[in-house]
Amino acid sequence: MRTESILTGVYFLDHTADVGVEVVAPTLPELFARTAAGMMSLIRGSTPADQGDAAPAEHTLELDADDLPTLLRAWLRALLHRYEVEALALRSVRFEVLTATRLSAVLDLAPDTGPPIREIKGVTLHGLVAERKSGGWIGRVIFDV
Amino acid sequence: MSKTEPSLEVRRLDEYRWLIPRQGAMRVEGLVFADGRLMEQIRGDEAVRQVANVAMLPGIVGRSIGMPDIHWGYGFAIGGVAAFDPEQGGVVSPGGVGYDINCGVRLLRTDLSVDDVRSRLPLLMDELFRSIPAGVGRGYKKFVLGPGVIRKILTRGARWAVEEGFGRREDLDRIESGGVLDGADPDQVSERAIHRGRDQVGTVGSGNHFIEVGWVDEVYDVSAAHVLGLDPGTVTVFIHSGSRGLGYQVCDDYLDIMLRAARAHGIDLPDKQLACAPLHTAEAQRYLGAMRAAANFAFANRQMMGHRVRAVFEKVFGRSEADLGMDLVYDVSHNNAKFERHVVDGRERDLCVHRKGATRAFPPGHPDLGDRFRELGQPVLIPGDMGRYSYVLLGTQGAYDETFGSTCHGAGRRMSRHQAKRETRGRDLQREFREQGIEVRASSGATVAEEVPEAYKDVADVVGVVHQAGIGRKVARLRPLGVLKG
Repeated sequence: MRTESILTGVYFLDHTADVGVEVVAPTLPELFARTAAGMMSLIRGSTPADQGDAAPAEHTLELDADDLPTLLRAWLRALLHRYEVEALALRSVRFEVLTATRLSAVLDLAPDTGPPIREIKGVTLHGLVAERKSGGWIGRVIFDV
Repeated sequence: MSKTEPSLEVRRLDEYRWLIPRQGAMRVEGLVFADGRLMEQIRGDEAVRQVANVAMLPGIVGRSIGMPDIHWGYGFAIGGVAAFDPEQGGVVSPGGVGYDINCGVRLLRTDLSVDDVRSRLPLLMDELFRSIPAGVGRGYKKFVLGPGVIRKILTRGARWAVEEGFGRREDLDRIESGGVLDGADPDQVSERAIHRGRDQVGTVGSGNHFIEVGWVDEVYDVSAAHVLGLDPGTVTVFIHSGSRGLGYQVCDDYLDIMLRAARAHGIDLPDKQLACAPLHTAEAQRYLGAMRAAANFAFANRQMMGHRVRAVFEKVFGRSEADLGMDLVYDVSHNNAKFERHVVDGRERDLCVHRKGATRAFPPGHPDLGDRFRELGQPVLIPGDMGRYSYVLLGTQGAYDETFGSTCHGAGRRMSRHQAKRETRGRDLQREFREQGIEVRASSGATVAEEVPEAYKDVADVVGVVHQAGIGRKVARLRPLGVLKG
C-alpha cells in the first residue's frame, strides 16, 4: 500500500518493519531530487527540514555505480552520511552529469536545526527500482529503520 | 512488490510447522514455524516468499527457516535462519545478518521488590532517560572515542568494557560467545563506519530499541528460573540495542561489494539485497572480519549500558549495585553469521549459520555454553511489546536438531509503522500506559506511536509455538513497569 505525502510525486510505502518511498518524476534529475526529499521527509517527519537562513554552501559530489538503481542508492547514501555525520541537509541540487552509471552534482547543503524523528539505518537494495516508465521516471526505495 | 504470490506452494506439516517444498530455483525446502492464526498474519506480506528466496542461495543446507515472529524484511525475512556449507560453495550475505549487526538483548535482575521500585518509578525512569542517550542519532557529547579506542572495542568487545571498569568480570560468562567474537578485523571497517560509532558506545538508539524495567510475574520452570535469578516477583531490566551507526555502515559498505562479488561468481539473486559471496573468497573474509568487529562494538555497547543502568539504580536506591543483587542474567545476539558445527544429512559439518532476527538456542550439554549454562541450556530472551509481557526461555535439543540451534527473537511486527501511527492518531499514549501502571520515557512521541503494543503480534502466541514445537522451553514471563524508548 502507498500513501500520499505533501511532496510532489513522492509516496510513502507501507512495509511491515521498515519504510519506503515511491517517486515519480518527469525527468531523471527530478527523480533523484524528489527521492532525496522523500528520504529527508521520512527522517524529519511530514514537514520539510528547518534549515534556517544559512547562506548557500556548495559541495560537489561525484558518484559512479554499475547501473541506475545502484546509482540512486549511492546518491541517497551520500546524502544520508552528510546528514548523520555533519547534520547537513540538502537544500537544492544542480546536476552537472547524470547518466545511468555516473553522477556529478553541486549540492547546496545547510545545517539542519530541527530534531529528526526517525533514524534510517541504511538504504536497502530490496525492491530497488529506478527506471523509465510511461514517459517519465519511477523510483522505489526501502529503507531500514 | 506484490503480496505473497499464490503460486508459492506451502504445505501444513503439523500444528506448528509449514513446509515450502522445493520449487523454482529453490535448492532446499523452506520451513516456517507457526500456528494457523500466526500463519495467516505471516502470509499477509512477503515473508514466506523471502524464506523461499533464501533457499535459492548457493551452498544452503538443511532448510531455509522462518520463526513464528517472522515478518517481511529486506532480502532475508526478519526471523529467518539459514546455514551455508563452505564445502558446497556456501555463501555469506550481509543482508542475512542485517544492518544492525549483533543487535541483541541483555537482561539484568535485582533483589528489589516491585513495591520498592513502584514507589520510585518516575524518578528511576527520569534518571535512566537522563543518563543513557536514547533517540535518533543520540550519542554522548563528552564521551567521544578516538579511533584507537574504537579499534580496541572492535577487537575486544565487552571484554574491553570490563577491563576499563564498566561492569563485572563475571558478566563475560553470561554473554553469548563471552562478549567477543574472535576473527574481528578492524582494518576492514571503513573510516566512515568508525566515525559514525565514535560517540555511540553505551547508547540505545531508536526504532524498536529500548530499556525496560519489569518484573517476573509468572514462572514455568521453578528450578531453572531460580538458577537464573528469576524467582517470582524479581525486578528486572531489559536492554535492547546493537551496533548502532557503526554496524549499519558496515552492512551498507559491503552490500555493493557483495553485489559485485555475486555477479563475478555467477550467483543469480532473486533479490539484490541477498547479495553474497562464496565463503572462501576474499570479499567474504573481509566482510566476516568487519561484521565480527561490528558485533564486538554491539557487545561493548550493551555492556556499557548495563553498567550505566547499575549506576542509576545505585543513585536512585542509595545502595551499591552488588548490594542490590544486580546480576547479569544473560545477553543474547539476534543478527549475525557464525561458524558452528551441526549435523546435516547424518554428517557433522562446519556451517556459517545466518540468524537475522533469530536467537541462538543451544541445548543443555553444548560445549559452547560454558560451565554456568551447560546443564540448563542457553538462555533465550524474548522481549514482547511495550505494554504486555516478555519471556525467558532455554535452548533445547529440538532446536539444535531442527533449526541449527535457533529460536524466535521477539513478538514480530504485524503492522507497518505508518499504519501504527494512523491508528493511534489522537490518542494520549503516555496516559494510556500510565493507567496500565507503565511509565514511558521517550525522546519522540512518533516512536511511541510506531511501537504501540497492537503494532506487534502477541508474543505469548509466538513463544507458545516455539515451546510447543520444542525449539525453546518457557522458563518465566516478565511484565513491564517502565519503558525507555528512543
